[in-house]
Amino acid sequence: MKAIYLLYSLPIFVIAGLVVYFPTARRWVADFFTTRKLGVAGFALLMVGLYLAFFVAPEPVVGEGKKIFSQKIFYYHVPVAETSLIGFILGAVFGGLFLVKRERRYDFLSYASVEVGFLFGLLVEWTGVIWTRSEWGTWWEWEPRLTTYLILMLMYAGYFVLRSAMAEESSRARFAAVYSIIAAVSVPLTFFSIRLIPSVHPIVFTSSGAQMEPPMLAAFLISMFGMAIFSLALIRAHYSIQLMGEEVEYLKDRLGG
Amino acid sequence: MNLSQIWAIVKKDVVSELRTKEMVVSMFLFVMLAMVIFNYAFGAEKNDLTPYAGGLLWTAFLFMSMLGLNRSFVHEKDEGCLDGLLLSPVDRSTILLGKMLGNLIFLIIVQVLAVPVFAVFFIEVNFLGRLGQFILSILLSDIGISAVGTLLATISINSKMRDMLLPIIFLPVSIPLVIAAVISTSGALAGAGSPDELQQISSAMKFLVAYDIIFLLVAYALYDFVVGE
Amino acid sequence: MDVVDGMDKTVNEVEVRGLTKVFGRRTVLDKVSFDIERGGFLTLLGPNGAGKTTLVRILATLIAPTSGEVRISGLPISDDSAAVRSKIGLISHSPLLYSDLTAEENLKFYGKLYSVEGLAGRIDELLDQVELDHRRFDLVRTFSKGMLQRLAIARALLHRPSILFLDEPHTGLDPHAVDILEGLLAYIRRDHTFVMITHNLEKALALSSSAMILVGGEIIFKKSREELDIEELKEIYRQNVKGEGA
Repeated sequence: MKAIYLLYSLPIFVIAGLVVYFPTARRWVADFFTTRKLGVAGFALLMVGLYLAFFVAPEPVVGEGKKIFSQKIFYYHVPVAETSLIGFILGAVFGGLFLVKRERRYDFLSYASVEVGFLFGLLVEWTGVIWTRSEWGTWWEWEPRLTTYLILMLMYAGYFVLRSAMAEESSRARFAAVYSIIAAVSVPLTFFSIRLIPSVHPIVFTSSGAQMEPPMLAAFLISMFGMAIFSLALIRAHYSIQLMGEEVEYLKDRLGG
Repeated sequence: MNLSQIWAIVKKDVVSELRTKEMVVSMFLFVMLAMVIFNYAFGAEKNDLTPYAGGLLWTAFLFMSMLGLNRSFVHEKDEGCLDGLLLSPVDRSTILLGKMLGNLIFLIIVQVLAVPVFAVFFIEVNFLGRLGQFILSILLSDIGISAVGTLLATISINSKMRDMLLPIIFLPVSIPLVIAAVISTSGALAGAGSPDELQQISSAMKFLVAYDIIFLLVAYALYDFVVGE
Repeated sequence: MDVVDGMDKTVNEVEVRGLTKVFGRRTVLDKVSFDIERGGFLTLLGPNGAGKTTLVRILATLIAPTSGEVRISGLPISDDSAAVRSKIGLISHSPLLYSDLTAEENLKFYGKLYSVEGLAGRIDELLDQVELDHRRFDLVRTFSKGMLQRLAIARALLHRPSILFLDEPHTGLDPHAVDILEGLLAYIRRDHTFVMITHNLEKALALSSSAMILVGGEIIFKKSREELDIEELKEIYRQNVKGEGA
């Protein structure tokens, strides 16, 4: 199953790498994968994934034939979580590129990625709380994965506070880029540190494929791809909004001056 | 990187602090006050808080460390001296290491004063046999706090919010450190009861080492961008 | 005044080519180019927000330019900042001194950062020059504004820089302190290159070998002393720097 994660995240990073290193590839990718195409493709995949999850994939059975319907949320919860991490990683990558190249678009891209990562992180918490409620009957459990995400959310909330606390635009971009890297480094550290404490909660479903039947796996993977593509559409949209905002400010300056 | 330059920065910070003592004194008083509050927050009658001692100690130390981190840069910034440092032909990493070591020294000074009081107040087991382990776990955590804290305090002092920003960005990044610090310090105070616990303590110590190394490298790599335009 | 003995005047101490600095959308410096000959004294005038301080901070390696090239003593500042930094001194309106250290400790600290040779002797010499020898062991926080500025001058000269940047050094000084500052500047005028930002036209022109007016990040006026018509300069200055004590 680890191989499947790799298979899943590899294309995204290959595309990201191409985009960064080859200007022609960048133009081609940017022209071909428009926000609308990405959005529609991602949405369609998500719908297919939902259909498969609810109508094709069987419900897992634990113990003496007890079927667990609430497991369905994992077709949504896990892809959202993975996508959120991609947002954070892209945020740091673009942040690093900004520091090296000092081009404003990398700041925009970094900001867009972090914000989309943050949005998806909130969805992780939300779906996680729903799962906790249905499985353990309480709204909040200090369960390792949810706790990890809570800490990450607090950390990235700091990113937005930091951005708004910077008076000068250039120092905002610079410090935000630095913090996006620090935060991304802190993501795996948070993950491991939480696991230093033995959890009292058994892991009911892992996302490792051992207990997944092929229809379940298909629904899961299609949701994952759909979510990742959809998030890229959001990042692109966010990026174009920032470009437009910059244009508007520039025009206002021209008119005012 | 130049040792005599690093030393000059450290010495400058230590000399002016020893003259005013404002930072160390307020940090120490903060820890003392936190202890009094802990006593009333967690059962004024049954005073053996040994099982929670690591957590209490690090709650106090973490918040106390932010007082010093902010202070050390408020000085530099308000008197314009950060420019003085940046103007001189020293590497940015030298400035980082100098400020970091200064912060580390102040942390340690306060801890040396505060830990005996804390032990008398709250600890009812004899942990002198594990003193080495205790000191090691505190030192390892201090290094991480100074590395991350110096880096983030430099960012926060450059913001409109100034020292208000530091807690918001420093605390979440230091949570992994605190988790490991609490496990290892509690372990050193209360002793390991079972092989499982021993295992947990040793992985927490290893985690602290990893965290220190990672954030020393991150701070080293990023400090150029933090201090210079 | 413009013939400086003991120095090769044909060599340029500062060379600035196409220097541009953009903060966000705002262009603070727009393709600024100029030279200062070795031993020259450039007075930089202009309204607030014209980019004077940004220009000096770039020359002093505190800010990196967006584009363009700067050479100081023939060294590009982007290549080896440390080598460039040991050639420059900065006197700005904040003294860059630690108030909880004594005058001597401050100079010792900076001397170590610059690895100054014969530091103790150099400190004696400088404290004597700025007439602060009697306050050597006093905390800087007890100093008056004028004394602070004198110590700041000692600090800036400590490592024997070849070029000095002065960012409004007269700000907040009482007349006596201004006199001492003027005396010191005249004394060190011979063997240093200067760039001075100021609003004080008369004082500046007494020493300078050329003057430059910066408005909106562009040079609108630059002339050397020989070709300089003081009335013309005053007129342009007045037109561009309205209501700022001109």
